[in-house]
Amino acid sequence: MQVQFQENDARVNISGEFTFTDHAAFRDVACRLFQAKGDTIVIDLSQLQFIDSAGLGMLLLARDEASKSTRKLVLSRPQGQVRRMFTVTKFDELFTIQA
Amino acid sequence: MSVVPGLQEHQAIRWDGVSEDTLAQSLVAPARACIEAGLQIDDGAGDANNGENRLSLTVSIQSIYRHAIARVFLLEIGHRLALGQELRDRIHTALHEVLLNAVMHGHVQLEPGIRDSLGGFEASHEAIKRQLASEKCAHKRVVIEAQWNAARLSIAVRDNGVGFDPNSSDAARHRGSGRGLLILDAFCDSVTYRNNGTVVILGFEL
Repeated sequence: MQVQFQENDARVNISGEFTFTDHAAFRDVACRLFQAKGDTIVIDLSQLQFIDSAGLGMLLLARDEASKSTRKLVLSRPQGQVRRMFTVTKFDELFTIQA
Repeated sequence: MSVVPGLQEHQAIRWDGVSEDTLAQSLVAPARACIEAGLQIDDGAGDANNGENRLSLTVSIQSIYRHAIARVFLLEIGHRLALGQELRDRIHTALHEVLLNAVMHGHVQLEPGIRDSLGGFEASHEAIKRQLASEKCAHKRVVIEAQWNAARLSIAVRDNGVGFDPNSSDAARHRGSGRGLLILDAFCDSVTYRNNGTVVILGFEL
């Protein structure tokens, strides 16, 4: 998994694959996002090629932790396999997803 | 890589377990069976009497945790069989989830709820690494067997773990936390469980 932060750390682009082995990297991403100012933080998934069930679980945990600080976590532009995973697991009912 | 003694060269190849690159090299045709170094030959490995197209891979659960086994295995299947991108994504996803499940639920035991926080995720991986390095897991392995014809691809995944019942309340809990079973049902054209869940057969229409 590769990451690139933008907009004073309120937005992060995640590319490559997001799987169960990326737990440490994602924890660092989440920590940095939660320190950003503003009510909304965005994870841009347009360059993410693959996600597994562990990655889905980590996104849900990040959402829960964001809400503790009254922030809203938005998932942006999922593509291909990632979008299909979101559809199957009804992530559109659990997150705000930007097309 | 090396040829398994006693078998024809095209029947079984040893993978050194070092990297995904050496695994990819070991799987190249005309190999029909590949076995990680240090593991015993599985029954039926290199069976030359079965004329159906097939490819099998026997790996340790440690390697499943360390390497992208599903991606490399599918890459070789894709060299032997025409697969569109959508079907590749479905096969990759399903096979990856079965292998992940074999490690997380078939061979290691985690404290309930340990993965209920991002910090807990990291702690769970430390626990997984310790268990995988233990003597208990020294001989644990998974066998992936792909067979195909013009109409259908079947991938059977067998492991010598504790197994599980996909219809049990435990499985429902897994479904809630990992969503793996839900994903298998959605991404495969068929999913069959046998031998107390130690064998999972994924079916795909071509």
